[in-house]
Amino acid sequence: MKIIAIYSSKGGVGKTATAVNLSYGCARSGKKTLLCDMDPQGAAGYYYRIRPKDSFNRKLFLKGDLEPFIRGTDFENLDLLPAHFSFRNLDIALDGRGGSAKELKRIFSCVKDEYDVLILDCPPNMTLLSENIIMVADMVLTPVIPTTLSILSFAQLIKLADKLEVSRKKLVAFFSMVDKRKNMHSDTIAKFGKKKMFLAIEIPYLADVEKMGLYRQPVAVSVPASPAAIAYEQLWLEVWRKGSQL
Amino acid sequence: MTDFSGENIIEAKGPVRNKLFPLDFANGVLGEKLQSVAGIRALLPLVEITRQSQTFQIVNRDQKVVLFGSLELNQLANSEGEPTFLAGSLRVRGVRGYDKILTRVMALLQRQGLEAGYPEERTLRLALASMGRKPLAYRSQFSIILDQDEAVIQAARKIFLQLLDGMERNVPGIIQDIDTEFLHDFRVALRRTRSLLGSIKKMLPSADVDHFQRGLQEIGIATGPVRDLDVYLLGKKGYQAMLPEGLQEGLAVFFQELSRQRVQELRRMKKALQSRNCKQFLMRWRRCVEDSLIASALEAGHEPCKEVAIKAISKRLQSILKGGAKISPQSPDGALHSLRIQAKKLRYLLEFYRSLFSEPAMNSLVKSLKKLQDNLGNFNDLSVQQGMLGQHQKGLAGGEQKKAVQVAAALGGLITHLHEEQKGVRQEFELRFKQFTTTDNRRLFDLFL
Repeated sequence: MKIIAIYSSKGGVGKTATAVNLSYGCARSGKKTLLCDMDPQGAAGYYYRIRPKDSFNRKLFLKGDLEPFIRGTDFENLDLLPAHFSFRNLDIALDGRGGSAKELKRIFSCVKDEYDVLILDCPPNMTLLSENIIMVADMVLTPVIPTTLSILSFAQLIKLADKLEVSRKKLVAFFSMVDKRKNMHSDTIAKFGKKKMFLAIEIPYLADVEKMGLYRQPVAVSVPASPAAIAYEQLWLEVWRKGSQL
Repeated sequence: MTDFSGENIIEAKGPVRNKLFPLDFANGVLGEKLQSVAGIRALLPLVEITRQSQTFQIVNRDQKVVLFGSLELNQLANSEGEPTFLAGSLRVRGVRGYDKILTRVMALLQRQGLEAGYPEERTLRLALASMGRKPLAYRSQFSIILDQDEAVIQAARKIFLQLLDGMERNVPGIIQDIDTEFLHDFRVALRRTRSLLGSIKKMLPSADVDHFQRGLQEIGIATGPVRDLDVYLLGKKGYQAMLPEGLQEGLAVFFQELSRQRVQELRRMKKALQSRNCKQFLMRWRRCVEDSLIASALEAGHEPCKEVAIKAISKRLQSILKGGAKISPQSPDGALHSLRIQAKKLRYLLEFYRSLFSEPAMNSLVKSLKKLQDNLGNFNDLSVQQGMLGQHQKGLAGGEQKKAVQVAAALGGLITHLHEEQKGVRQEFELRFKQFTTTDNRRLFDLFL
């Protein structure tokens, strides 16, 4: 099972949209996929219209008792583990348990035979949980809005990876919510886009992506063959190609 | 290929020819599966089922799908207008993590009297039944249940009828030349008939026996050449493997020639089988078996069949044991040839009368006899093949000089290879025969001796 973490310490960069659409593309390509919503706000679950079961909570998650709480999406090969409100203190709880990457590995070990790909939708912060996720993931995929602040937070991620002695190769970025009319966007892309860590694909700023909250479906389902659907399909293909080189 | 619920069974590229063989699906999972069940038989379209499927979903308050379902109607394609509906089915599939709804829906359906777990193959069975067919109803293997007290002529009548049915059933497939096995099964039934008729000839008026033996023999002769050619053509891969690259071209020419011959021989055979003579003969044979066989039987025909069976099997067995023991490495090939005929006759007797004796004993006897027969059969096939190839080699003359040389070289190579192989088989004979006469088998022989 390959683990892809969608991570950025900055909020509002399109993490959940990426997780939802990427997991759909992954499942469509025939891979048994589990999308795990680590963000206590539960947006990924919302997009797939899945609520957590009443009996689910942080404790059970930490025990690694995930199976009874995984729910099927409307789409073949794609299941989802919804987030729970109690996930907001996940990092503190992990810390209490010795807080290492081993812990997370153990938690996900019960699903490793059932799924080909595990996609983690991570909360936007830089905590012990994020550190663990970075260590355990095979790839850390970061959406970057072409602005100074966003670039800065990606630079922080690189620093963190170095500190954790995690290979930089794991870190993969792509430009998200791109608006080419803005000089800052095109300048930033011109400056950083050629860097090895960046994928070629850019996800433009598109209304269809914003409207996901209304449709509550991946864009490939709500607006098939739209520029948004095509962009995310390409993102998936590039991520997979990159992943198989790691 | 998917099953009726849309689940993938296997993926493979299908052939585009009209007449399908498992081998046409080469190099795929589908091909391997078909190969294991159908072998060299052709695949024929038997029924056509049209399925109409209407899908539906049950959603919860979030408009999230919590159950998938489909209603399916199966219609039998029928050339005569009126559509025939086979049993339909309602299919439901739950969604992980939403089990309650599935349980509720299943309970609801059961209360409506719907049966759960409808086996998909039943649709196919129904469709086949509507055209009077049952899966696996045809077997080329012979099997019949006899009563030990019934008169041998009664038993023979039953066996003849089953064999005749088997022959007639295969004729359309032979005429249409669908695959090689129609002819093969036909000829096996024919040989069994002749063998049984031979073994009970003293119980019937000799004029009748002579008449039918001659007719059956003629059919055997008329159908022989095509079968012989089929055997070579089926063995093409094996022959190719015997020769080095340099001789393959000549071999290819030889096989083209065989295919050409087969076209001619097939035409001749079809003419013979469809002739009034042949049809009338088979009709006379059927009438004889059905109506007059028992009445015309002599005194000996009314003995209980088990007694007759023991006598006949005993006689064959003794002559095989005696004949086989005499064979030494210096014996001429003819000795093995006549032992092969004896063994074959014994095999037929054992198959005819199998039901009269203990099943495990008969099974192991037939099994060990088969091993001996394989050796003798291989030896014979190899000498027939060498003879045929030699004949063909001699017949090569004139025409394109270069081609003839190539073919001659290929045939020479084959003959050498076959000769070597035959030597090996010959050397194995003593061991095989010794195995046939082991103490374990001796105990089985005591059933008859």
